[in-house]
Amino acid sequence: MQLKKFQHVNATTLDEATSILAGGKAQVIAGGTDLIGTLRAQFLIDYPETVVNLKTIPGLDYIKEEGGMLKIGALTRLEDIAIDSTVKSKYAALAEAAHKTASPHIREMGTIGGNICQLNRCWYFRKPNNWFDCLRKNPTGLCYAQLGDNRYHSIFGGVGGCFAVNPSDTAPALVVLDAKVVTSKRIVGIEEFMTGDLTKPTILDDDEIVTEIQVPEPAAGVKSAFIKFALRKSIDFPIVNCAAAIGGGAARICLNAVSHNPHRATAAEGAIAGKTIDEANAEAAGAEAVKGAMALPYNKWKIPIAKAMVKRAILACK
Amino acid sequence: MAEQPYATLDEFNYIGQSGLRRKDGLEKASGKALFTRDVSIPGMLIAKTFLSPIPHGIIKSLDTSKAEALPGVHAILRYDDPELAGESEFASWGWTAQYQTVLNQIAHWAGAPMGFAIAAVDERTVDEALKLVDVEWEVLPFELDYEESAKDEVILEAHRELETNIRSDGSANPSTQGDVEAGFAEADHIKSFTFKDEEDVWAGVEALSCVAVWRGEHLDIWVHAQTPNPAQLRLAGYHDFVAVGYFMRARAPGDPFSPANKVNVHSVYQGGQFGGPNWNPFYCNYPLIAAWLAKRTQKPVKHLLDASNFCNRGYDEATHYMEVGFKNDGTITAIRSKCYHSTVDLPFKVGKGTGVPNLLNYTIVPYINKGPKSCYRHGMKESGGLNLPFSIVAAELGMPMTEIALKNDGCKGHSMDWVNENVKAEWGWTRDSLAEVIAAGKAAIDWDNKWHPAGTKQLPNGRMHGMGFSFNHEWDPDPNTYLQPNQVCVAIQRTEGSVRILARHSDGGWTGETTYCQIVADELGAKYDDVEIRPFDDAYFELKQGMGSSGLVCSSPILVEAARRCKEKLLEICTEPTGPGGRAIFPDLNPEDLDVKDSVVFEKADPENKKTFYQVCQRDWQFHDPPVGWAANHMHGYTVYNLMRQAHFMEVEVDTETGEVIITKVVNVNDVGKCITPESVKGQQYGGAYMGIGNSRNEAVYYDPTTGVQLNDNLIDYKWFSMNDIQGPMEQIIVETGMGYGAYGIAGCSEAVGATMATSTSDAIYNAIGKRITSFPTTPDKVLRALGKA
Repeated sequence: MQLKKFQHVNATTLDEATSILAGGKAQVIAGGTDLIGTLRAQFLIDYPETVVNLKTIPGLDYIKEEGGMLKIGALTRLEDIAIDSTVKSKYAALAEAAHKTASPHIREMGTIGGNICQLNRCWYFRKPNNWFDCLRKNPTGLCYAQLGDNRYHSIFGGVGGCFAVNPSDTAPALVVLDAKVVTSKRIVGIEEFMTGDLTKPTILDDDEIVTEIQVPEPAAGVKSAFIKFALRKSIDFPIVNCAAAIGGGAARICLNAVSHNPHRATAAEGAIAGKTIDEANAEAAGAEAVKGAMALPYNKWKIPIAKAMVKRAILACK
Repeated sequence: MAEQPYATLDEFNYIGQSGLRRKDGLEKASGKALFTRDVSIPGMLIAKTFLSPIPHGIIKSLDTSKAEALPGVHAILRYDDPELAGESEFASWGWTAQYQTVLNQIAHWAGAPMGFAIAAVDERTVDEALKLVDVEWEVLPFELDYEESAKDEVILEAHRELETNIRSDGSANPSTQGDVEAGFAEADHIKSFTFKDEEDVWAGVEALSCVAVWRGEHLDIWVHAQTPNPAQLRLAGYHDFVAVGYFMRARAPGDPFSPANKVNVHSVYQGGQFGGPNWNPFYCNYPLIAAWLAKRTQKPVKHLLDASNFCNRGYDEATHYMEVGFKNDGTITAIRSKCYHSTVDLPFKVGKGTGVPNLLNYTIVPYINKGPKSCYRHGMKESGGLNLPFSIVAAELGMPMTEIALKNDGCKGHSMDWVNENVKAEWGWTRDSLAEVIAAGKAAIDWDNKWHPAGTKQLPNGRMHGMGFSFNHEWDPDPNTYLQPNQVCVAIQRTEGSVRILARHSDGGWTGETTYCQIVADELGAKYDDVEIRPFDDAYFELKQGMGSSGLVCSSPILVEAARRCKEKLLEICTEPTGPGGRAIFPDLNPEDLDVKDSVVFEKADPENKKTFYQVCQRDWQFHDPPVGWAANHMHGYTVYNLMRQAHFMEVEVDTETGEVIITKVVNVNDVGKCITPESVKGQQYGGAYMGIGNSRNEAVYYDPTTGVQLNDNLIDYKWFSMNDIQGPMEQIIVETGMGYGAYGIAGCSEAVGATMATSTSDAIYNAIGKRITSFPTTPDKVLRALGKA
């Protein structure tokens, strides 16, 4: 299908962009790798009358260390993050997550801001032409996945009856690195930012824009890693991914694509924090991570994979 | 010794040569190649056909008034249009045996194009108009599973007064070779197994489309199709036709459309979509709808199929209940298969390339509510039907499968001893193809050092190591297997001397244009760069790709014949006294005194006595016939034996924690008889390997069980493989034994690898983990389940 008609505005300032958003029926576009597919497929009930281009706003594309933290402009492309020497050396989980996202072409277009704001994935939700009137579009609708083919869906329960998963690769890395998201209105932690709510998956108001990601410099001795399992190496969303940051007696571990939101594996964190990173301890932590998993009829296979991802992410922090 | 069954040459100049410039290379590599979807004509309207939102139902009423009132809408063609009424049911949608009219009133599957089509000023308006049509449905029960449908608990098409869902039942008339009961009786062991494959699809890179424009009473139409000729005939013989496969009856008197000589079908470059007669509903009906709309609006119309149809019309979905009987020494005595839906024809596919004497299979085809099945690329059923029994016998006996393959080599159920004595001796053939391809492949992958008993080798990285193998006969050696009205003309341009091959040809991406020019250059004695083919337009002549299979096997004999006739005519012209004074170009010589090389005619006894094509063609051209030769294919009388083989090897590592299968090396060995274009053959091996591996590892169509709607009809969720998905190196080896029946002894290749090596993965996984997976694709969830972990 073709895109429907909409007005395209090249914003030159954040104020201009937010004022257009405040007018209603508008959406922002940065890399556009998720939005264009969304608009072409026309699977959402509301279609924007205006699309506001953020790429024309200067000064939102940067990677720098400042004030004891890494600052990444929201328009920074994933490939730039993946190859940045500072990110690779100090924030390895984030660099690896960016590198493992999608394909080279998409990484050259997609931005870090867009990657944490993308809509959940579910083939019922995203079926073109709003084919399935599902819960994410209509509170009185159905979760077709619950009764249907749910091989790629949540293994940690649903939110409001919906089992679609968050597919971001960078989000779990940002979670374990305890990142903050700067918007045009506020600064919040990444976990608070990603609400996972059915119809409003981030805290962003309709007239609010992500402007920066802030990642505190890891404490001495902390190592981070990111592991992804997908059906194809060339281009794919994760079946399961996992990031871990371990050291100094603490551990942060986060899975994604297993639930509606990035899923902190707190039991696994408890199992490995302060312990020697070895095969046995990592295996035990992996088992802890999936103890609360509840398979749907088609997706039991994701549980051993999630366990293996946790184990391997931990071992990669050695 | 009998005469060779094919044309040959004493010397090959361009045939077999690497490094030639591809005739289509610059256009494609530079992005300048014109594809059907690119065709644009000033004033052109865009049309689309409605796609059914439900898997089974009848349109009770249709209100198109709101769509008609939408600015920009020019025409709506409805299933109940008086000019479409009375249209015969059109063939079937392949093996699923659904009924099809130009615009169906009945939806057979969710996503089916049917009901009505709209033409408007642009695609956006068409999309909007399609949503404005009110459709009232009579919703019918649907079924997605063949075996459930076969139970007849719910008669799905009771409205047609049908009493069963089964469209055909082959049990009363199975396909057989030998005596299968006797074969099982003499077996030391009998193993039963179920071999299941999910539906997979073509997943092409160019969404289907066609463009129609009327110029007075003449219709010009651009069709994305494997075989443009049926579309031409379909358009010409619109009414009162009979369609069986490709063959249609001529038009009836009073047809509203032109006869075939007024329909000009153009076939430009194409991004995929090939395979068999089952595409007729698309490339006959879709152009027909475009032609109707163009006639009504008096404007050019481009008819688009949505991109979701990349992933419609699958293939291979089937459940096979198989048995294999074998002796302690590995001799297979019998194979039997009962199959739901998509058969593996054991005598045709297994019998002709092995010595297994006793075979029987039959197929039950129930009606279900999925998209029509098209043999767009052969795959699992071919590979599995042959290789799984061999692999299972090897496993039972603890032997490498290569030994079982060699043990049972033969042809039409005969042993190799019989073949050597009764077939090869007749033609003077002495080579043993299977032994050669296996030896070459084993050496390339170091098979003898790496193969091990199943489930016994764990690598330092914790993964299990496995080696896999698959084999088959060549694809196909016989021009008559896919005989069609194939014809070609080779012409030297009068007054100028360049060489043209005249024929329309559907671009299959396998460098056919280059290969044709190599053959004609060598046969005619022309320079390769002096020979061209632009195969996009109706030239009466047509070089088909077989019925999607063995294209060059079918077209090479007539290319050779046409080029030789052209050469005869050229030499005749050179020695004919013509023109003022009646002096020949080569006075006092006969055609047999001359030869041709590098686009130069010369006297054999005095090579310095020579004339270029330009000199020959320029002189006195108005006094003699043009240097032209043509040829058409026809039946030959040989009894054909499949004697060439292909062998494929794979090395894998299986991650037992995730079910991932990492392919670390692939070796493809194909005996192609005679290799014309080495880069093309290797490309076909390479591409076929990706297709086969993707097919066996990931590709499957998934449906929502509660609504019958396909869920992964896009290239993100349909997990086709690309180059980056195979981690290890891939090596292609070409063997040339010359035992085919096409020109120079060639056989087909491109379809063969994908169709054969799909089960290499299964064999390799078994060798790695000691667990047999016979349900394809072998996705990680199935590997984990085999390991008891999911």
